[in-house]
Amino acid sequence: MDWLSTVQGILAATARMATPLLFASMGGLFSARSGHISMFLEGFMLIGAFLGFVGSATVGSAYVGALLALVGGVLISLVFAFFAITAKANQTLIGIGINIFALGITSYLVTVFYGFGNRPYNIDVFTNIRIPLLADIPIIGSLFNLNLFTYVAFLLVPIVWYVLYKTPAGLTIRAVGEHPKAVDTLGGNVIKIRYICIMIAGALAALGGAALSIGQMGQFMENITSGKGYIALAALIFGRFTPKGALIGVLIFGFADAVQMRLQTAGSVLPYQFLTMLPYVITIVALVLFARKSRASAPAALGKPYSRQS
Amino acid sequence: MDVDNSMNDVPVIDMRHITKRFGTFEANSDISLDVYCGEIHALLGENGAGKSTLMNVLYGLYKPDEGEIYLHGNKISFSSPADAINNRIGMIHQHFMLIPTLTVVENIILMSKTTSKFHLNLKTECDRLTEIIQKYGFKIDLMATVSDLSVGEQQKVEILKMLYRDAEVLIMDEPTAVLSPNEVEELFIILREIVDDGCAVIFISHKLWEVMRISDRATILRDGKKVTTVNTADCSKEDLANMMVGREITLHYEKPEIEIGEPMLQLENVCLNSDDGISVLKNINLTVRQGEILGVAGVDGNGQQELADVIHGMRKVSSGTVKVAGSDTTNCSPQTAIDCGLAHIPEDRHKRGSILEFTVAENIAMINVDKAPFTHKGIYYPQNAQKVAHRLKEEFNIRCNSVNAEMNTLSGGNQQKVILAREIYRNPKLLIAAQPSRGLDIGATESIQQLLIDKRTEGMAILLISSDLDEVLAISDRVIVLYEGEIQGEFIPGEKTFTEIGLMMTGSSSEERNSTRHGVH
Repeated sequence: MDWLSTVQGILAATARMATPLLFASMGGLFSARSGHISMFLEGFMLIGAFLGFVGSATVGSAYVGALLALVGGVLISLVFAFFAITAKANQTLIGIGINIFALGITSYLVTVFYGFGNRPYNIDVFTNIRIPLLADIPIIGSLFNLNLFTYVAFLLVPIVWYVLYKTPAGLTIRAVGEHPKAVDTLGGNVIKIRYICIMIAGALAALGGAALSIGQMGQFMENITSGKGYIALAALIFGRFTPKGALIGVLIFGFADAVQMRLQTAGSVLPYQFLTMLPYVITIVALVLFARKSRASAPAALGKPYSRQS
Repeated sequence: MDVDNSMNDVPVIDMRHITKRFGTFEANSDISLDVYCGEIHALLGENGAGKSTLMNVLYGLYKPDEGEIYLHGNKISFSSPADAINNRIGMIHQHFMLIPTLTVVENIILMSKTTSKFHLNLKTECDRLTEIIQKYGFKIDLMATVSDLSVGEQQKVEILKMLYRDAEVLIMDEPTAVLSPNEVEELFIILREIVDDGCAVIFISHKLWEVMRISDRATILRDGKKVTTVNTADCSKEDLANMMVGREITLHYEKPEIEIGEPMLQLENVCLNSDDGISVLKNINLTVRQGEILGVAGVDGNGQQELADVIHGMRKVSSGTVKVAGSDTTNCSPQTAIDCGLAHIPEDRHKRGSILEFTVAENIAMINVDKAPFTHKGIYYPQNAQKVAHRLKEEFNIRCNSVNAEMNTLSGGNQQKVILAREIYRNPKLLIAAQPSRGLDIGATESIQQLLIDKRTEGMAILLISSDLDEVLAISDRVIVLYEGEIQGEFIPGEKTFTEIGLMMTGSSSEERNSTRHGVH
């Protein structure tokens, strides 16, 4: 076996696998840090994946697909925001509701639109962009021959970090998640800030979904996200609600995914079902090990709707 | 005389005929208040008198149903705190509006106009703050995390927050409730400097002595109505108390001399470590005898709650022994301690003292529910609970519609009386009363404190845990001071001055011990 190409392959696959998770967890940072239980990421991703596919298949441009996913993500996030912020309902339950709704509606509509068995397969996707010079570096060169989604996802990490920690707006967002009343008494609009954060989460998570359908696979199938939203949420908790921590978490899961695919193609003795379990097993183990510690780092107002009276 | 001069000017705040209703309830009816620059204006009243409502109207949190507000003679109408802040009115809430995980500077600049909208440079912001800090002589580390600060320091951060926003009128809602006596003194010095600079301070309080001590004028509210506005210097403490309560009240208690009896509570070398391994009680030795009240003074969070828990059996000691009425109850269950004769009025009467959704009668029956008369041959008789509750209602003067009213329909004072009645009904040998009058108005406080003294005179042993130093000194026979889980000393009320006690409460009297401890390292 050619070790060099194996390493190159796994590196590139890790980055590819991490892309949808990274979008979702960066979006989740906004919703979580402003005080929301971000169970909804899975549903937002699924809707993004579906709309990205529909946009690309109908208009013939992957960019239109990405735009449609983004708009759809914002719209569905407003549904969550209304119930969670305005109606003050239980955020875990709304999140689960949205996820089930997303699974149902996308599975149904994909059949209504395209029937059984004749889904468009040759749709426009985001193709790899080779960055000159960097792509020629040995071993890590493979990281510079990926699609636009992946580049954007990794650029998002420093951007989100900067916004959250190096701008007045970021300070306000973090304050809203810890002690919303403090922001209110200083004249801030807690409700507006929370709506905006949820919309950002919706937009980014939906792009993460589109990264699956029109970035990686060029296809849409029922439950295409298969729990990736939950893994993104796990990465967030594992990473103690920081961009750097979430990145590390996402990379671990991405790596596990890349390795299991490599093992599958290499013809392992283990049944492939065991290998596909790997990222999920790692999720559970990571959460068990780190959940206790991360409870201290979770925003104090997580899951608590704000009202002036209480 | 300062006040008289400024009287000729236009008041900075002029609230006229303010009425605020919640449903059919009038929280403020026709209240007028004028405040001038250069004065500390106390807003005095009992809980529920309408002080906070009035201030929330001024701060833009509530819209008044009737009345007008003038700022420097110009009519204004605020729809949110942002309007108030932009008009240089700042409010410091009783529960601090600080984010514990953020640094001091981050808390101060939050939602303010920073140097750049797109880049947050904490160093630049710190430099902008140093001027104010030096002017008022604050000693505060701007880069420290707020959760590491003492309560007194946190309050300074709150004040800084408002000064940074250029506040001209500072509203302070019960600012001394959480402070030690020395921190109160420091606060008063700062407030005086602020008003000397031409600002106005509105000081909300129900403590008479501090209103006497700090304010130039005082407006007294009762039952949502204004009683009057007075020059504080022309009044005595008793005058203020009578106006606030609306009847004559005693500020002193008669304590008959009685024989001290057998020890009912003995703690020997009790130590307790928290789950994180931090030592929260260090070598506690104390004895409470029949017919005496032992007061435990100290700033909240210095081991008082843990002390009560250890005696009650809610937490297990790390070492040492606990004896209730002569029997060793160390690390026994709460039930054992109760069977030995312990009664406990917990600090948090909502979470631990009662079940708010249950009726008064059910709350009365709660601890003895398996015994006669509540239960007979294994069957619970609610009518018996109601009978007992009825009797206690008369005896303790509990005001409620009926004993079948839910606990949460009662006022705080009456809830506390229900708990007290239940605990005393069992005729305990030892009573732990933790913060028994916290949040109660003067009338209720008076009757509860009188009741504790009566029970002591009847021969009960009482451990009074309270962060209200006035209360501890008024009714205790002996006092110990707790600081960081350690007893700092013991004295008889009247033996030590407020300042000396204040030093004990901040651990300063044990400086020698600390320095030797550091010397070892």
